[in-house]
Amino acid sequence: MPTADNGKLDPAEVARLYLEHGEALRRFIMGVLQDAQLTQDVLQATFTRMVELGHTTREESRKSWLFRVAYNEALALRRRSATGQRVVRKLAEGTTPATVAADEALLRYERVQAVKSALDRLPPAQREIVRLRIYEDKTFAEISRDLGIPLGTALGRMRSALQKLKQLLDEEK
Amino acid sequence: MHKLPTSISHDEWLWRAWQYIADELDDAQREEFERLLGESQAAREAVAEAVELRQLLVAAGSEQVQPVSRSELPDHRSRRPWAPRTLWLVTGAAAGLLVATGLRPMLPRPPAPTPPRTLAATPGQARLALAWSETRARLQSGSEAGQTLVGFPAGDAQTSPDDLADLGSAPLDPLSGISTPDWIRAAVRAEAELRDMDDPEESEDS
Repeated sequence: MPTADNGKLDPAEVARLYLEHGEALRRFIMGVLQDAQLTQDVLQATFTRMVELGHTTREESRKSWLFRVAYNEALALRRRSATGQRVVRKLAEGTTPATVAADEALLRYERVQAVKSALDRLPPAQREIVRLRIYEDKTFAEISRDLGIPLGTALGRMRSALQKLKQLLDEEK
Repeated sequence: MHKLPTSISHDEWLWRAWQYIADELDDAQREEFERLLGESQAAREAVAEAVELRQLLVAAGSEQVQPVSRSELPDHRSRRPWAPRTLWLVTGAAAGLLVATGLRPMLPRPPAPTPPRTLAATPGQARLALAWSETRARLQSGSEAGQTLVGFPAGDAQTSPDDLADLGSAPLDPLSGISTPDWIRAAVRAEAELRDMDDPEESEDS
């Protein structure tokens, strides 16, 4: 295990962990907190903990350790802050760090193109649900009423659409 | 309280995570899911995946996904969609306009509109015309009765027989030299027409 002179985890190893898991962690924290600034705070706190305690973790479990620590930090922050149980439930859509590297931006661009392609390949009924839910911000109750379909059918189509999109995106990777 | 299945597939995690980040779980479901987030790395990673998928969909932009025609949807309602009807209406109106525009040169020209009357008579003018007419009648009758009007020739003592002879066929109407304005004549005509309309029997009798 790479360690620094003080017995702590080598900072280079922490940096590697950040490169490898930082974005996924950021998304996870965002999903919990729904706030870009708080997400950034928790992400920093998580890797600070890794610097301090990483040497006590097993190498194969560090990813899980990071997610668990991030979750605990997020819950602690949520309890401390005035954001309450339901912080502003608006995703800071498309939040990407300002310091995003050019290759990362290109990678993201390619992912967006892949999503566009995947959307085109969805069955029309599923694509319509995605459009109404994501782009028109309608609730599933409104969608089911507008389309004259049961609520369960609308939810089922959305679920199928997500599965299909995920599958198509994984194929593009 | 809603219980998640004990053996949870990745698709199920992704769906639950999607509902979680989209705030579509009720309080009990949310509490349960957050408890699972503390226990399951698969749940945590599913949240990260759901957030990424949502961000990518938003980034793809709404213009990417055009509304699907109701006829393409399996459970569309029986009511007719408005869009095709509107399209037909617009198409029909445009076609009608084109036909009308194209045929216009071939159609006979309509008669030129009648120019507006320049001698329109207002009620005030009609009353003035009546006053003018009555004055004229009184002057006429006064003249016939031998009364003179200042400034007008009459058979007074200062007028010699030669002078009278020079007058010859000169009109006796002392007002004959004063031209009646056009608007007064128009007003009189209008007044006469108004009278005819007010009393048709009298008009017929006359």
